[in-house]
Amino acid sequence: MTRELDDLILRLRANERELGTWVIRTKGEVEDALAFERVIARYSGEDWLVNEIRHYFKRVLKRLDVTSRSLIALIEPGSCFAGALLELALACDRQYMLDGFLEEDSQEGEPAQIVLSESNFGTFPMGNGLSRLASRFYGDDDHVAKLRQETGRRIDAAEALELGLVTDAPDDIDWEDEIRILLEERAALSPDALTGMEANHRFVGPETMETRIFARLSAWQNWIFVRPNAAGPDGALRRYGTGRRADFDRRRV
Amino acid sequence: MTSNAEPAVEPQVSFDADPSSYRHWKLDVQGEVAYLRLDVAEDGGLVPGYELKMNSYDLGVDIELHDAVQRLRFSHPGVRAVVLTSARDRNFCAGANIRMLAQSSHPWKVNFCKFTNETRNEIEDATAHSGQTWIAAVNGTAAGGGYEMALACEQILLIDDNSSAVALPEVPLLGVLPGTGGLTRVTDKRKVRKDRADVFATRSEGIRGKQAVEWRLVDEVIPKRKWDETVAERAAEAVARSGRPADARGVDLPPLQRDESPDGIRYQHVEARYDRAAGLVEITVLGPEGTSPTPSNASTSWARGSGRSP
Repeated sequence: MTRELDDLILRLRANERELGTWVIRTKGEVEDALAFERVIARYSGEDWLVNEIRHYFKRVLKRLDVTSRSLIALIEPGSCFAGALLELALACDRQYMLDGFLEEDSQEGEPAQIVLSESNFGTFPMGNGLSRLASRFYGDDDHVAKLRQETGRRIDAAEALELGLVTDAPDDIDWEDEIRILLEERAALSPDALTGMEANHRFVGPETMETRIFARLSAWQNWIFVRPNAAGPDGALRRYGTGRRADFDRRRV
Repeated sequence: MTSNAEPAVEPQVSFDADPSSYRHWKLDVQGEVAYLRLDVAEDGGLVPGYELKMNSYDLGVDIELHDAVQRLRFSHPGVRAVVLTSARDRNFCAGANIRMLAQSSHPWKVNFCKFTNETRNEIEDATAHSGQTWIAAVNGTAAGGGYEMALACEQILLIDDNSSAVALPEVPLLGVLPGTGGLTRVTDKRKVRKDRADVFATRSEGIRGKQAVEWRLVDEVIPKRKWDETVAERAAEAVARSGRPADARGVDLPPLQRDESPDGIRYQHVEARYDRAAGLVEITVLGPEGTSPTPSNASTSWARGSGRSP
């Protein structure tokens, strides 16, 4: 699963630039997801392969964190956003959780539930060194501590909203309209402004060497790349190797 | 690239790679030490229009590097030190290919830099969390992205042959930044003083020999006659410090099974459906199935598409 998701992220980034919003769902049994959790938690210290898989999933989540697409998690009945897989939702810019069932659905089984586990409290740190929950509730350690006491328990939509784990929890009457309008509105916004805004909101708090590389260094570099002094016909990048010096616009910006 | 110049047609990119078909790297596993040697095929560019001279790289070279980092971790549990070096004397790596950069569209450059940055971080992650210490054996000049590749390693060894230097010539020669972590790692990781970092990053010929050590740009300069044995010694020291398990069996990473169509991509456990009219993709991740009491069970499931080697 981790390899496949990694490959998909890389392909979508490189080959599907016009698909600016990624809607992320999961499908499966919450209980099965948690059983794997426990193996990862129990053995990652002693089994080298479990450890490698944990770190690989960490790196894939980091790829999501620096992906310049709008990431929206939809948490519906039949999903399994539990523990490590809940990180996928927490990596998103927004999370929507259906409260109840849609009329056309079978209405069998349970409504959507999410489950916190130890994995959500530091197993998969972001580039800023914080867990996604600590980033989400930056400066509110009390709330993170409170959430820690909720691990292992199934949390329904109303409670997830109450705990600040989802952006909204529409019921079956509002769900389709709300999601449709949200996605339409998102697609109408400037893709460049969204990229900048999302990158700012995702990384709160402390800077690390890693966040400095992906923000301070990359953002300046990407600005320089569009400036005529580098990429224009008389810019240094294009003049290199021609024997002619670059002709700079000397005004500092 | 300015808007009035037409960028070369940029291809659909595949990230599949396998050591048996690397064009630009030679992976040589010798017991507990792996040697990864850069030997870029000049005619092996991912996009037409440039030649990868002087061991310079493009996205295709980095896709293979990313593959090597992954495989060393999963398929070679016995490897405890990785020596990153060049297959060529006097030329370690000249960095990202300049003609490639000059002809690429803005989004291509940005995506290229993001991926190469992620791969440098993976190298550091392997050193930090996998007991695989990466050592840069800089056996020739390392310029720009070449030096940045070395900076991602835990140790940098530079050959002392009166010509090989480390350099970040982007600002003085190209009017851009060493954007694959170069500026950042020089100050934050190597702890080079900021005024020296300023001198270094504006001196196109770079710095070599003792001064490179004094300025902390490299850890050690080694005379040519002692090169091979000293590199082997440093690797052995890293091996001795590693907590990698003895006698573990690696897992294969076979090619991913992937069903591509105009409407999306379907893997075994991940699915993507495109809605081009709405400008979005719907991604569904299938969770694990069945409760799994043992690590080997859990491992194979999580790394689905791979299995423990017999």
